[in-house]
Amino acid sequence: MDVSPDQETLFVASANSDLRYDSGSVQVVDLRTVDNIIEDWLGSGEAPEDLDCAVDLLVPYTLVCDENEVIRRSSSVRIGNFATDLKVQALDDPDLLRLFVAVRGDPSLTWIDYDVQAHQLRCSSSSGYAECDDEHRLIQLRNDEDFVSLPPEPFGVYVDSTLGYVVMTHLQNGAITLADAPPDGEAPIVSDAIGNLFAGDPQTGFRAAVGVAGRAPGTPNDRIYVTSSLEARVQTLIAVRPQGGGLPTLVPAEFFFMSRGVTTSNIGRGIAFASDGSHAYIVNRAPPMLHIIDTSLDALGVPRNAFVGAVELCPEAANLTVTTIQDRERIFVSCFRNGQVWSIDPRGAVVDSIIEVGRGPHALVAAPGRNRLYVSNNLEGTVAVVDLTPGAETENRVVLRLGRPQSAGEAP
Amino acid sequence: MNREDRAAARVRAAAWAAVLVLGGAACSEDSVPLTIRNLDRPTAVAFGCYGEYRVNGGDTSAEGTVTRSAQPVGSCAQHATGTPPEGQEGLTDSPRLYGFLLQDSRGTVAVVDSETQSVLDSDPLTPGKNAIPIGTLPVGLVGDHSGCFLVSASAASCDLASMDVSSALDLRAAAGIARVNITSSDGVLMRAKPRALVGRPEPDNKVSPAPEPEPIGLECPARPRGLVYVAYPQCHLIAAVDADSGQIQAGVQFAEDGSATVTDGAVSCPDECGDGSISPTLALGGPDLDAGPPDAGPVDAGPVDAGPPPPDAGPPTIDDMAPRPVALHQGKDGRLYVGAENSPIVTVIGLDEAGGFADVSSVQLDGAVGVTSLALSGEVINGGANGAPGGDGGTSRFLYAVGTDRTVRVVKVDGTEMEECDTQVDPRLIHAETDAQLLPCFPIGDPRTPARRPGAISPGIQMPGDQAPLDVAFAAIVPEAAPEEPAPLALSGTFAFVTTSQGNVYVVNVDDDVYPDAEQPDDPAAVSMTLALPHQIRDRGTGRSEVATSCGTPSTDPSLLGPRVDTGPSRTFATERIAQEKLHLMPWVHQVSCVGTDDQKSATSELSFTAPVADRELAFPDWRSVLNETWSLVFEGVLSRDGFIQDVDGPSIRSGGIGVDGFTLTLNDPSEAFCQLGVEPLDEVQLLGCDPTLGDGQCGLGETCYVHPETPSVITTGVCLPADRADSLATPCRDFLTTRRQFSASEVFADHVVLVPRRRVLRTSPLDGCTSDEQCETMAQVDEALGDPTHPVAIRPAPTGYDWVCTQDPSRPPAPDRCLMACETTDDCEEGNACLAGFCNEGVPPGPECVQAVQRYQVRASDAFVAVGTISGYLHNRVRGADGQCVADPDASPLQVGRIPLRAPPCVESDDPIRDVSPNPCSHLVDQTEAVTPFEDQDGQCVAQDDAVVDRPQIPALQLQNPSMRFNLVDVATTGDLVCNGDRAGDLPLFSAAYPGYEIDVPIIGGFIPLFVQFAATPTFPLRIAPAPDGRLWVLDQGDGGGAAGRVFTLVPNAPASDFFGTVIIQ
Repeated sequence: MDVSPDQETLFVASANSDLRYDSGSVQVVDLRTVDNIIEDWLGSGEAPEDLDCAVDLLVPYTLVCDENEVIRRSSSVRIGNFATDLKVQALDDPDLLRLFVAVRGDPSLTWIDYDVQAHQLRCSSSSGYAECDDEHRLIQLRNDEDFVSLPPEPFGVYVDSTLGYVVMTHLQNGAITLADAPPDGEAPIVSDAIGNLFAGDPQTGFRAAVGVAGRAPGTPNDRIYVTSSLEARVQTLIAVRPQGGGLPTLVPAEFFFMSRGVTTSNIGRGIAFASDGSHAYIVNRAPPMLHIIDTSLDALGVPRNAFVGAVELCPEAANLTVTTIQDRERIFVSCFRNGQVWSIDPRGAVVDSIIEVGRGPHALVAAPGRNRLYVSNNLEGTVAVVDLTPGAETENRVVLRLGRPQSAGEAP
Repeated sequence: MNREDRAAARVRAAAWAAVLVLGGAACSEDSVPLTIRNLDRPTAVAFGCYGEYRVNGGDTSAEGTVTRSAQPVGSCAQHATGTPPEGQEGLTDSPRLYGFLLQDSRGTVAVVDSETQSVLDSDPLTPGKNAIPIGTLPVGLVGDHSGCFLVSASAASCDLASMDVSSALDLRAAAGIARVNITSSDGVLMRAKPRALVGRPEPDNKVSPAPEPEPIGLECPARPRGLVYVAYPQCHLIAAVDADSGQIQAGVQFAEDGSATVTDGAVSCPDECGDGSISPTLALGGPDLDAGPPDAGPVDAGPVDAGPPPPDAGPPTIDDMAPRPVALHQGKDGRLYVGAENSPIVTVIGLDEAGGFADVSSVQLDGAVGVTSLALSGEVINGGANGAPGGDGGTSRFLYAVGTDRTVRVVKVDGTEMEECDTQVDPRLIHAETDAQLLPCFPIGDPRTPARRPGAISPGIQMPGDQAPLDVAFAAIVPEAAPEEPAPLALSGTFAFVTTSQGNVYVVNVDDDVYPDAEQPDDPAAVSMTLALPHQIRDRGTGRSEVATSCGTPSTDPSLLGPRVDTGPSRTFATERIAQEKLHLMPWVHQVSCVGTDDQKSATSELSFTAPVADRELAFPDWRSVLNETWSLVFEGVLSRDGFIQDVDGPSIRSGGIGVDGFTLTLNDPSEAFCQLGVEPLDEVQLLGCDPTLGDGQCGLGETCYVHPETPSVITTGVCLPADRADSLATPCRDFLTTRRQFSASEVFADHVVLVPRRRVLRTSPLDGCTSDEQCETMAQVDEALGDPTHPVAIRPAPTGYDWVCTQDPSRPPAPDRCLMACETTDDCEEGNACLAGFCNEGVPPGPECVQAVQRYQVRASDAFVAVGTISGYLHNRVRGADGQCVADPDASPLQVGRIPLRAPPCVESDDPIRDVSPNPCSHLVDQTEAVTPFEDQDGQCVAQDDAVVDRPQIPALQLQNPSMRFNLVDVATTGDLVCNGDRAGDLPLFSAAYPGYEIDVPIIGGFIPLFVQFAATPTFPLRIAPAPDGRLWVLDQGDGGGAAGRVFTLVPNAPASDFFGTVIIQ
């Protein structure tokens, strides 16, 4: 999931294969409509009669609505099976956005343009509920048949809108691919790939690059941080363009080890940065910890990458997002097993709230301008909307659930 | 393929096919070990006393009624001594101490029988061992005055919960939990989130007047009694809350300038807690923070004693906001200590008889730091040694504050006087200090306080490695029999126990009554100031003060004896560059004389245990900085030796792009690595190219690892070229492809270096400058002869075949004229070199088409040995200057040095050489002793004589001091042998036989080993350590580890040494 820069739209990738279409999909959620529903709901305390919504029988402050009430139905497109991550690129044209989706089934880096005015996703010449065409599924390095296909198991995606590139991690072999993503709207192309940055698992041979984030997006020579679920190492890279232009390439830079702060921390997952790039927040699964790393620049002009603290997390934490609400930074971590999102105050390295969101929370993204957090619940096929309004009676609670919770394997 | 290569390997498209593909693996989740769920992330502990209890209304003479009940914790403590409290004699079943563990993520309290150290089941009808629900996100757990209730606050509902201790331990009924809203004194609901909660401090008997203990024999009240103190970081407030009513009785409000003001209970805070109900309208936004509490004017509590700030005090907070209090501590002096996560100001609140806030004072810690945990020691009589408690260092308490800078700050508390101590003074500068009043605390800013040791990040106690301290607790240890000899576990005095992020519990000396307090001039080996100073992590080494009684090999156990070189030094050399028989001409670590008990003299390294005591004192002046690591001294070595699993100096092999602009060649590294690496002008930069045995694996997409067919055998690498143009580039790029690709960095910036061709220089160039081309030819022949084991008398020099000229070398650091290889064409040059402007060069500037690929590179020092420690890394003082150029940091410690050039300024003569560290490195004369096999010239034949130990008085040496040690290199320059190997009678001009890559390894053992408590398993994340009434320390491990979701480790500070703290794991 990701939110448009104007926080008007939420893009949701459905990963599971849709039996009718043999595809995943990307849906467009109108956040203004979402907020209208929430406002009415919290104002009246009654489920709206004109919508397909009902009060959650177990959680009286949560309204459950059919997703059709908020999805722009004609906007959706079909993608390959098993999308794992989705990020939005802001283009030079303010009326255009570009979505990048890591799709494991292809495997591909799928890109989709979004017309802000027409509210329309486009990734093929076909109309209707179209499937992204081959041009929009980057499966070949440099689109050159002399090169083999994209590495398998694409997993995490990071987009630098300004510098115009996309970085994607690969779960199985630890590779990292780089795509040139021109802000002027030119078609993206996978320009480089780099591997063997992480040590291989001696039994499986896997290397597992997982989380990826940029320290200061838009800054020349910004460092990209990559975590591995099989190693304590956090590797940094820089996307460099040749002088005079051309396709960017990846240059490895420093690395550091999470285990220097907390012993045996070698199952890295999601990573995100403070808004000023001064700190990195990294989820590690065993022991389940949020590592807080000082990434401010030292006298040498290089990130310090020094461990400063950690916060115990729930089991099976994976993804996180950082947002600032009323000048206060907060970190939200999804807890797949517990069905919770843990809210962390990084200033004191403490859990300041535990939010019950639904079964199998996975992706999460915030819209600070709306005081909302959106959480995709992988095991029940819903998106939970959490109220982040400071001081509100419903702060840190799921006030709206988009989609009716389904059992695993249940037909939609 | 070595590990460095793997780290930097670039995977070309074809390489993907070789990647192991195992279907379905990506769907697998990480394996989850069987989890023991008796405990789940304990975050706080409180203690209760429960059992038979004579309720006599406090009348100790009354018979009263015996019942089973909670009672004041002091009752258990007295029962444990074997002398029951007055009026409680004759009970058949003495009460027991119980620990109550708060588990915040579950919102429960687990109960532990302190006697059996086992978790109790609070609900036997439910499978497993169950805890008692107390509320969502509970914060803090404290006992009330009666001992009958435990009180906690909730960060989710912002109220107080009290638990009836008796009901919690009586399994016949549900535990009694009562909740009460917190309100201001004017009745306004408090909806701010609490972060910390403590009860009223229980002063020790050093406080005057002595506090009245809680009467024993009173019946449990129906409701909790007394005040609890709650920290509200977002409200910048400490509130004194009545545990029964929840009403705030008083507050201490922090302002943006860091000041604290006592207020009444009419406080106002932002609303941070919802109540779960659906409100008709959204309550957006919180109250106006600046509005201030209505009618909450300051109470006349007298002037605030802020105390003097440190001399270089920074702002009162680190984020320009009012202090956010998060750490509360009940001081044994009866006061409440407050730390803020964003402020260096520690606030101390004096309490009145009722527990209300009476006054505030403060101390500002040095620098921009926050405080996350606090502990105050009992009263310490500073000084004392050899097992005798007490001393003449005065009486004080010490406040330990866990800082956000990963150090533990120390504040001396003497009544109402408080001053921060510098715990990181450089022991070099205080080895003669005997002021008993000063040694316990070197006040920051005091002119008597010397400079800090290099590498200290603050005046606080620094944890080993990158560990962050988490919590601290004190223990006063009075052993049954006072130890007289220092030993790691010979504990007598006051000690702190600090938990860290890596799961360790370190022992810190606060007042060690066994180890001497100062150096003993008549016995310099007896005391190391590093071990004598208070507020240092305790050392785990034994036999530290022992001296060598023979010249034999000492123990190789790194935890025994003092710092020393272990079985070495050793060296790595290439026999084609220096024959084994001529190693005496190579630079080596200074050796001194060891005289054994049999008066037999032998040679030993000055870093050896068998070196004279005076030499060892100079060699290792600060044991805290001595790590068990190997120092490598490599001539013209690389500036980083980090491998794939090491992160000290950054990757040794970096990547960058080459820019060619006319005649200017630059290497651009977007990671801005050059200052970080410590590159200095005219260092050597080698473009590594690619290893052709790895195929194209080290090249980028569309590139191939191309090896020119004319590449000489001395060059084993290729260069990444565009695959479709490699053949056509072979000719224009020939010289670049067939040379060593070594350049000099003429200008060094953070993100780029300007490269110039590096001339081929003769390693045996006279150090004082060559005088003629003929002399250079002679020295070139000497160079070749160094690899020949033959004695000089038998060597028949032959022309080298190269043209050596004596002239300036602009591609190396400034020096007198050197011998350079001259040429007219490349054929005149040694293989791997190319002719440019009349000189052979180790590389030629490539055309832009030859270096389109990303280049892997490495940097080596020029004309110097590079000292790199396996843990300490390469020490240098280079920083990024204003224009991006890498410059020397004028504020850097003179010990931050990792190069030994072949020439250095003279050392300073001093009466106190241990203090003198500048210039560094420096040159001076030393007395050398060494074992040799002498040869005698017998009619032109060199005949070996018996091995001997010879003295070489007053020979030149280069001295290097770094934070770890001080040592000398001898034979950096030589005039060579004349007739036989080893006669050192040569009449050649001074030259150095060192060649690039010559390596001396100095493995150091006996370095500082921090003492930590060894449990049967290592804690994962010991967030809290708390003293229990029975003297144990409870370590609350919040982390998942060992199959458990949180554990408790207990230790007994007073346990006999043989019990090693009597540790127990509760899980």
